[in-house]
Amino acid sequence: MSNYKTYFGFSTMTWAWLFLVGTTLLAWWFGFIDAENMHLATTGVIIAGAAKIWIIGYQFMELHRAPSILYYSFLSWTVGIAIVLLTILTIS
Amino acid sequence: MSGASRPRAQVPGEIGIWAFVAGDLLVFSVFFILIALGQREMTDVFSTSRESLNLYFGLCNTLLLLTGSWFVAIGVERCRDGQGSDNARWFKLATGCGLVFVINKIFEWEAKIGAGFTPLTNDFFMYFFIFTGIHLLHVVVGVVVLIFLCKVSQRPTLNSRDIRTLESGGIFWHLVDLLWIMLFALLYLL
Repeated sequence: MSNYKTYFGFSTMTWAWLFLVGTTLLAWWFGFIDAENMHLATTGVIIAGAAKIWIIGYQFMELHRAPSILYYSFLSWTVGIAIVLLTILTIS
Repeated sequence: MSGASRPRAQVPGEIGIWAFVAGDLLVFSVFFILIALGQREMTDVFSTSRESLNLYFGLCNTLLLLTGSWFVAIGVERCRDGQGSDNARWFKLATGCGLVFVINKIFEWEAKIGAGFTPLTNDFFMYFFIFTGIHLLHVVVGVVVLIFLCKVSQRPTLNSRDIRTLESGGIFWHLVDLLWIMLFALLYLL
């Protein structure tokens, strides 16, 4: 996968950055959700964080061209830590 | 995307940097879990303490690290592909982002300590100062690494060893970025 491919005038690297900034602002907005929907806000914040971590790994750390063991190890950690945190924070 | 469908599997950077990444991810996993357990067990203390944090410091620092990572990724890619004549500028821009992060963090800590919040105040502030402090140490090391990458990228010709050095340094900087993302989520946004 070449990062010089462009989509609507932006490289994949720039799209990744735009996604990361957009997701950061989305997670920030989740922080303003009222206490009645606390579980929804928590889930949104953690999933947005995990998604950003995966994009950084996949695109910036170039896991898209890494051997499968590295690729899946990082993916497993990202999904695993998100599940553990969500379990602690949302399961009563 | 499956591993088998990728055309040329190649470890980005040196193997050693990935061993470091794995170790750091495990250590920070413990930090993340401790914060989450604290949030669960002492919800009121954590929520009240969190309200005294300035969300804009955290948001600004997140955007600085994300943008720094973007610059580093572009710089590494251009050096590897032999594109552009002044690729050191990407690493200089990323260094600037890192330095502003450090200054921001110092101002934030100063404001908190000035308002009477210290690591001894409660568990939330203990985690806040210790974990963001350990992360800040990563940022400082990362800035030094980026300055080194500036020098490497200015060499007239880059051999495969130089490229691996650039990739490894870049991976370290991205690690600093992604660790902050979860710290920001757990300390500022919950």
